[in-house]
Amino acid sequence: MEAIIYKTEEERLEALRKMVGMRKIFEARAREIYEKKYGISLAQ
Amino acid sequence: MIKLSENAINQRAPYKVEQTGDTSFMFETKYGVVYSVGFMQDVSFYNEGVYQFYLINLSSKTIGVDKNISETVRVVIEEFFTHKEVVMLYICDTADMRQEYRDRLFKIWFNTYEKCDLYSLYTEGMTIDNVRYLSSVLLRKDHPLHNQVLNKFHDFIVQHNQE
Repeated sequence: MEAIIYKTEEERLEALRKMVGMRKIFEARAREIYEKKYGISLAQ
Repeated sequence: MIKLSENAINQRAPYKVEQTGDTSFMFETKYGVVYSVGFMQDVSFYNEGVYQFYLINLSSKTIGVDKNISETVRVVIEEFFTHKEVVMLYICDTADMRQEYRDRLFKIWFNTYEKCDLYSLYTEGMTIDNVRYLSSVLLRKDHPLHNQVLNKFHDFIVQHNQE
C-alpha cells in the first residue's frame, strides 16, 4: 500500500475529478448488471 | 483485491443480498425498491486498499422510512471491515445538491453505531469545478497505516482544493 505522488497540479486535479466522478460509473455498471440479469430496464 | 462474503452478510442482514462482484451486491426491499451497494477500488491517494463506497437506488423511487435498508448496509460495511487493512472512502452524492444533508445522515448513522469507537471517521469538504463535495474516509483504528492514510487523504484534498 503506497501513497500516490502527483508531479503536477493538473495531474492532481484530474485525480480529484476522477475520484468524485466515480459514482456515475458505479451506477452505470450496477444498472447494466441488473438489466442483464433480469432483463428488466430500470427507470432512470 | 478483497472479496466479501455473500453468505456472511445474509446470515445477519434483514434483506437478502445477491453478490454481483467481489465487493458489490444488490438487494430488493419489501417495497420493491432495488439497491446496489458495494465498494470500488479507488487509487486517488493510495495504490491499493482504498475503496469508494456506494449505495445507489436503482429504482429511482423511495417509499418512506425503511430501517431494514440501513441495517442491511451496516452489515455489508461490517463485512468489508473484517479486512483490517482497508479504507472506505465515501463521497456524498451531489444529486439535487443535497450532499450536506447526506453527510449529516451518514454522521448520524456512524455516531449511533454501537461499534463506532473501533473506527476513525474523517471528513473534508472541497470544491471542484464549482461543485462542492463532501468526502469522508472511514478506517479501523488498528489499521497499520492509520495516521499515514489520514494525513495523505488530508493532503490530497486540502492541497488541491479550489475552495
